[in-house]
Amino acid sequence: MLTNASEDADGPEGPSMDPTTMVKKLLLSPERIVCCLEARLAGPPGLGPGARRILALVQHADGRQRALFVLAHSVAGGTEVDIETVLPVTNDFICGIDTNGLDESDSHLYVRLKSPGGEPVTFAFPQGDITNSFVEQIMMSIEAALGGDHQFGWVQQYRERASRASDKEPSQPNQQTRPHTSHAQSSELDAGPRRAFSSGAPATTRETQVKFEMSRKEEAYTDIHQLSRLHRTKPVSDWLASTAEPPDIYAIGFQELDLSKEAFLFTESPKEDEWLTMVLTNLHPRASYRRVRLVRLVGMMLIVLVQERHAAYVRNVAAECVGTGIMGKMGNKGGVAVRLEVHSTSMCFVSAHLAAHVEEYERRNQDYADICHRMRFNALVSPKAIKDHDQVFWLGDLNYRITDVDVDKVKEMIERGAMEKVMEADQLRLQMAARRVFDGFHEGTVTFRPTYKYDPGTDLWDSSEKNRAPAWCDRVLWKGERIRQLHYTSHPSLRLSDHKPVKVIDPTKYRKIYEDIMKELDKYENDSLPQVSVDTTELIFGTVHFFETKTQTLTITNTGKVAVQYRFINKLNDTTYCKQWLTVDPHFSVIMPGERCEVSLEVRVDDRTASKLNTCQEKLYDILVLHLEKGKDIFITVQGDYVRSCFGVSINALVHIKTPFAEVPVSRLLDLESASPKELTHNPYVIPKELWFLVDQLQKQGIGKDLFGQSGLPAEICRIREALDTTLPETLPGSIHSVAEALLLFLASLPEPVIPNSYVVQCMESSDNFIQSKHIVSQLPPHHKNVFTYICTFLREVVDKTPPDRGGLEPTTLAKIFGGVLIRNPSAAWQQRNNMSLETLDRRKTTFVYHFLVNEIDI
Amino acid sequence: MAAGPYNYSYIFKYIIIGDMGVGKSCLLHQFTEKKFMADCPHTIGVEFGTRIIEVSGQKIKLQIWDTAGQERFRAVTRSYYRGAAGALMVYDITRRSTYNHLSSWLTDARNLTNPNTVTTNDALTNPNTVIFLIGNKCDLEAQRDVTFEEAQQFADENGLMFVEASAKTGNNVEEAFLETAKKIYQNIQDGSLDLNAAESGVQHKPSQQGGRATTLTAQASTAKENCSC
Repeated sequence: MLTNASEDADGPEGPSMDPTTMVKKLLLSPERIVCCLEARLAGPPGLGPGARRILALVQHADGRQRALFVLAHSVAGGTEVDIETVLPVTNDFICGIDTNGLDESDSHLYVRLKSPGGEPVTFAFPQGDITNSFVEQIMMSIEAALGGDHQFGWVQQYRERASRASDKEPSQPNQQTRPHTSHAQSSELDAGPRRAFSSGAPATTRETQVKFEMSRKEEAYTDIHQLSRLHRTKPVSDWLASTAEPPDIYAIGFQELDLSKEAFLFTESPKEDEWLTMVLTNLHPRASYRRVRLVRLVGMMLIVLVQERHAAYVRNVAAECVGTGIMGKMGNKGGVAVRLEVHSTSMCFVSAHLAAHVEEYERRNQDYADICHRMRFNALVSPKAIKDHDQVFWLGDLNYRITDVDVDKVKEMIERGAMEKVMEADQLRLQMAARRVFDGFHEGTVTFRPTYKYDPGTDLWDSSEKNRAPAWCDRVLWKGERIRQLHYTSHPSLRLSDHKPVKVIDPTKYRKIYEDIMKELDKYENDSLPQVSVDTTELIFGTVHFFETKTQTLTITNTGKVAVQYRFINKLNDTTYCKQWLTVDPHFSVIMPGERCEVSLEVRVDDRTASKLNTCQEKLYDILVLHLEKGKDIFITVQGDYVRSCFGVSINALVHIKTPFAEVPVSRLLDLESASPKELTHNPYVIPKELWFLVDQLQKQGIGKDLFGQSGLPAEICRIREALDTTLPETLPGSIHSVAEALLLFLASLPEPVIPNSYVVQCMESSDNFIQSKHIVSQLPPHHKNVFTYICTFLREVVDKTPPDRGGLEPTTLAKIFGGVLIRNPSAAWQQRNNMSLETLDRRKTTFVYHFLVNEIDI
Repeated sequence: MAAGPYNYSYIFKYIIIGDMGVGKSCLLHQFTEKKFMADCPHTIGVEFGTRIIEVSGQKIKLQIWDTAGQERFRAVTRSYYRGAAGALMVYDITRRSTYNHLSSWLTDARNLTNPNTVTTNDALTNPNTVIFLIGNKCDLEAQRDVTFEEAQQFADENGLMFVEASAKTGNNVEEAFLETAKKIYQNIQDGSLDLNAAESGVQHKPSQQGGRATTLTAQASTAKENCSC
């Protein structure tokens, strides 16, 4: 629980009570306080905070909905509080840091809260962690808020209490801005567009959060998180650690390291290691560093180091060299460069040693141009030049001198500290002003003494006969956004060479902090994506028989931070999310974080799917797409082995099968089911034997027993199927009603119905006419005609022997039952064209069959 | 509240495709989390990741769909190609078979991302989807089975951008995602990608009061909506 005691601006008060405890007393048990603190209503600009309030973020019992309660003390300083208003935290809720017109001395954080349709209210919070986490909680609640259409019904009762409380004497009569949410507004406020669970953050929220985070980290990036770079030219010891805070990146450039002949001819220089070791042992003691890259060309060397904690964010490091010395190729002059990316900022450090000699400034300009032109980081995906970086830093012995001013005058001005005056005669400044070199680069104000030329090992100016004018040969320049130089100093105490080292630290503070926040938000967004785990992605059902039901359970567990709405969705070009033989229940649902849902997957091959499975046009194999709203998809594979059955085999094939169906090889079945079978028996059965077994049993045992008036038992139907498939049964198992249903199932499963589909339209058109109907039947393929007359003859017998007055079914009822399985509906297109409803079709099918139940069948 | 500089102005949809085990999910993870995911399980489905990047000063939100590479899911993952503005096609430089299958992945990427455009012979004329070829696992130089040069040639012949990358070290991963975005953005700028086309895979979100997105195109998940029941 977060509580906060703010300073008292309202005068003395009694013993203060924990606001959480006070708020808790008002809540009904299912609601929970997420966090709670004291704040003040923001007064008029400039007048500081106004009346005292308690804000509580309250979570509903459902664990999802949250609302912000604004409470006021019943009596100033008392321990009783009244609910003033309740603002449901929907994803349209706005929470923003208000920085307008603030007095800098005001230590409060002003937060503006607004629910859709309501007036904005600004509260003044004391700065600090408690406030920060409170605001953060609100932000997170907004991000994770469910759509506004959730009625926040639970909030109503509190609102009613709020309105009752407002009838009482207001506790703060002189309040200036009272949070206001009337009941009229609240309905509008609650009725937002339907939004999916865990929807992406509305832009406003994200922006608010960035601003908030930025304001929180302001302190951090000005004082603590300096992303500083130390550039360093020339020889070195403790100057690498001369700042209070450890720099994030070191870039240390060296020139004229070793101009021995060996160094010219061989790339190895023993001094390289010495220098590196020296650097590594003198880094800032308060941080550990990792070497990013060391690059050396003869006497020029550049070492780039990064703090260990940033190392993971450094990418695409590359180094290159360009020699511009003798012959334009040797490495005694030129540049070495290291480029890298930190977060999404690309940086390039160039350590250069340009042409020497006072008058050679044109040559130096040319060296610069050559380095820029020839330096290409070819190891990268798309090769980059120096200019292709967000930030470019040049450091090194650029060798520009002070000219046109008398040597002694220069020395005199330097002693007086008039550095900028001397700088007016600096060749580099003049050439830059003429835009002939380092165009667009910046350099800090030079306040340090010239770095050149000293008698080696001393602080004395060059005393040789050349009597060179002192000069700032060693420089650091930069180009790019958001670079601010903190220090630009020389380290005159280093006396190893005739130059003095120069160092610069420049923070790219804003950029880095900004990147960090963006990254956190990306992470937050990715973390807020719905996440689930499933106990399996493959459900294997083993052998599956016709009409047998097999069930397995898939457990989906919400492992994420937000409510998940899952749904099995269709694959491309599919009209359903799963095959017909599969049932998924529930196929969509909502799972709360940490909870799970058991989804039952049931496989059952019935009359609709049997024939395609028999003939291998389909397999018991399906991939389901389990889709998480606003998140990923998981593929669930379902498979089983279907055992072929006589159910779903065509009449014309069955009449040629004289053994039990299970004994028929697949190849034989496929041949029989093909358009022109090669192997037909000479004397096929008149009707399929399976049909005969079924009807025969019904005739022998079922007449007079309410045939077709009761449904069968699935388990018995399975046993009947088993008996028909594997044996030539004397009698079928199960009750007579199960046999009756098996008969209907058998007829319904036929790939081509008894009245073949090509005859259906005729049937529909002439169903009223018995003569025409008889004519149609006479035209049927022989075995179909046999089956039709066989069935109808049997049904006539049923009707004759058990008329309705003796408990039998009405002929119309029987006709309706069999009409449905003997005849199937014509195409949807035909139905539409003839404007025929399913009821009409059913009636016509019934009528068609009815004729044959009440008339002599003399076909 | 006026939309500030932190909002994104575009949403680009990406898909990552390629054989099983080439490192598609690791590339996504490296890009979004900047971490290498060791022992990454096979993706059974389609993972989803997002990150906001900056191209030419424009904030762009990448919505990345990382598809299962297993052949048995191929028919299903095809549903996700539709409306992708960028396709990262990945192979494993240490397994030649993954390289050999590229043309089949390329055909899918060309044909399925923009089903309304030419899908038959001259598929190369379809300019809308930026396809970036990634030879992953370039940290495993010793086990290299596909040379950089031949892959570069394949990429050149098919007009693909190409890079060898390592999801393990992070090398070139950022580039592949960013260069793809740059190219898409360039296509928007020069008009070759029509934002109003339903399959562009790009949503434009002009900054405006309240910062709400104005979606000129259908949702990036067009394919999914179309097939919802």
